Amino acid sequence: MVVSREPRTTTYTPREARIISCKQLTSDTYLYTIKNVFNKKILPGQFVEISVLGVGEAPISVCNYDEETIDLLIRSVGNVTSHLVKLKPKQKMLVRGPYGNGYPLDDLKKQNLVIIGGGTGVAPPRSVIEYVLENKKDYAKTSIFLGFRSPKDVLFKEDIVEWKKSLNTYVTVDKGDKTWKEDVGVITTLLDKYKIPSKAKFILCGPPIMIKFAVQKILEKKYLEQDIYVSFERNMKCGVEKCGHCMIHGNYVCTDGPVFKWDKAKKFQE
Amino acid sequence: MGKLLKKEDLTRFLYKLRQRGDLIAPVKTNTTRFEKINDIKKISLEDIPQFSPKKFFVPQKETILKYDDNKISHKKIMGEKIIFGIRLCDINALHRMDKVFIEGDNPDTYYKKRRENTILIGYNCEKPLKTCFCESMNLEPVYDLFFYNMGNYYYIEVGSEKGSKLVSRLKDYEYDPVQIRCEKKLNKKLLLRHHQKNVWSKLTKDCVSCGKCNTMCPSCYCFTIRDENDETLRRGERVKEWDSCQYKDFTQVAGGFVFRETRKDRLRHRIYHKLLYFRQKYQKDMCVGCGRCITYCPSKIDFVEAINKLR
Ligand code: SF4
Ligand code: SF4
Ligand code: FES
Repeated sequence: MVVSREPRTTTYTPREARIISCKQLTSDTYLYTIKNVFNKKILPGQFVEISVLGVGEAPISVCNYDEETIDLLIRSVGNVTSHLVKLKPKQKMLVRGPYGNGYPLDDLKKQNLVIIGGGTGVAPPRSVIEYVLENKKDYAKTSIFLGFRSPKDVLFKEDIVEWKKSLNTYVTVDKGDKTWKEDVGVITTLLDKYKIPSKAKFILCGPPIMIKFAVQKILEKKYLEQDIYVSFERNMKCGVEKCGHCMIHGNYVCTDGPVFKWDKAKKFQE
Repeated sequence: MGKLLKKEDLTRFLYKLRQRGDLIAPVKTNTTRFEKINDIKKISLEDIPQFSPKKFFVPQKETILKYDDNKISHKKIMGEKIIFGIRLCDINALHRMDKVFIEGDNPDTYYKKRRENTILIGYNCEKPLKTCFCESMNLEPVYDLFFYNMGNYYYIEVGSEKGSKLVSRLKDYEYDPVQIRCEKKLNKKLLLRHHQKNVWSKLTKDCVSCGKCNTMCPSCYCFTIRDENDETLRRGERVKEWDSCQYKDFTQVAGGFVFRETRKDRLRHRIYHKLLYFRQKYQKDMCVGCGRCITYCPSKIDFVEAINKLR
């Protein structure tokens, strides 16, 4: 007879992480810094499942990390996230992960990087940008192009000021206002306006429509499909290639992705 | 080399087995389905079960954790199970689900234990149904024991170490069983490179997205995770529950966007997952050819026929 016992933890059990700080960035988006409670190494581009007991779980991408802390950008759009943004410093957040492949930092070494982010899609590449800033000698030139709907939707304003000091950083909004001094228009216009190195690796994250047009533009400029990395958003329930929700064309976004090279991703069909 | 068991000794054989844990076998009422057996005489091996025993491994709804305020606890891991009378298709369906739930970096705690604590004793199909096409699906002998009906005897094929221990006292016997022949065949090769063909629109014309094909399928395992509170709203359970790729919200993300918007996309995804995607990852088909999704579809959608017509 097998003795029945209670497991201490299971595949889907979250850990408690203390909230260190919380900053409101826009009307509905917050930047949380929580304690890094994982014993696995995190990679830029990975995500975690965060939960509120009694409400549920949501996948959130890691937008920066070190040994002690993890940054998470939480936009109050769904059931879970609207509960999450009510949490205050010193309270606990429940997390499991980190999941996903993340960006292949080794492939990107010594390369010129072009980072393109739209809206909350700026969050995953933020950890790459911070990584590059910390390991500058490993990377060649890095340019950053960010797009938001309007000046009041601009995320990571303080970071952008820092990035501008050492990286070519450009920000555009779809619709400007009197205070807005930077570019106006969709992100693809920036790719025409500003010079990009003739050899570069591209990191893209944002709404599907932005991805589509940005990729088109990049390919028009004769860059290679295998030099474009795109991060995918999907319904992700388990994060560990079991629940089936995130599958696209036989690929698990939660483990094979969320980052895919375009030469592969372009073949994805629903 | 196998073993021989007198039919009249079956009850005794199962009685002894049941001392190890729960005995689960087909019972015939208005349908034939697997149930926990209290009275061994109720077991019915006659018909091919309408329902596979998948719910004993991936329950329709399963607690993955309990919470009381912020205190998390888990339910216990259960003891041994003996599944008796399971057909070869359903055995293979479990084996293929094992790939998902046991292999890889993050095995599913409960599923893995359940499978480790299980003895699978199969029963041979003598006559396939009209909708069966298992012959096309490369089924393998992945059982502990497998029973063949031989008049007054059962011939028992031994498939594992675990199985061999259970029948060590029985008489040795040599027998070469005949392979099952299905009228229905699936020509899998035709499936490749037909993503955009309008055959999918035609096939899904009558689909009502009811998800019955998923429910009835022995190897459909996709699930959702959600929280269920009790009336105090402080206590509750996080559950893992069957989900259907045929439901529109299956691919919906926060904010509302749905990736597989049309029925055509969803049904094709199911068939591709069964016959292409799963194979790319695990070198086996997820479909085992039981035909249940065809039999129980309210619109009688037959993907096998549709694939066979591809050119
Ligand atoms: S059982 Fe038939 S009608 Fe229901 S979802 Fe499946 S294919 Fe569609
Ligand atoms: S025939 Fe249908 S129900 Fe049976 S295993 Fe294949 S897909 Fe599942
Ligand atoms: S999120 Fe469950 S399979 Fe990817």
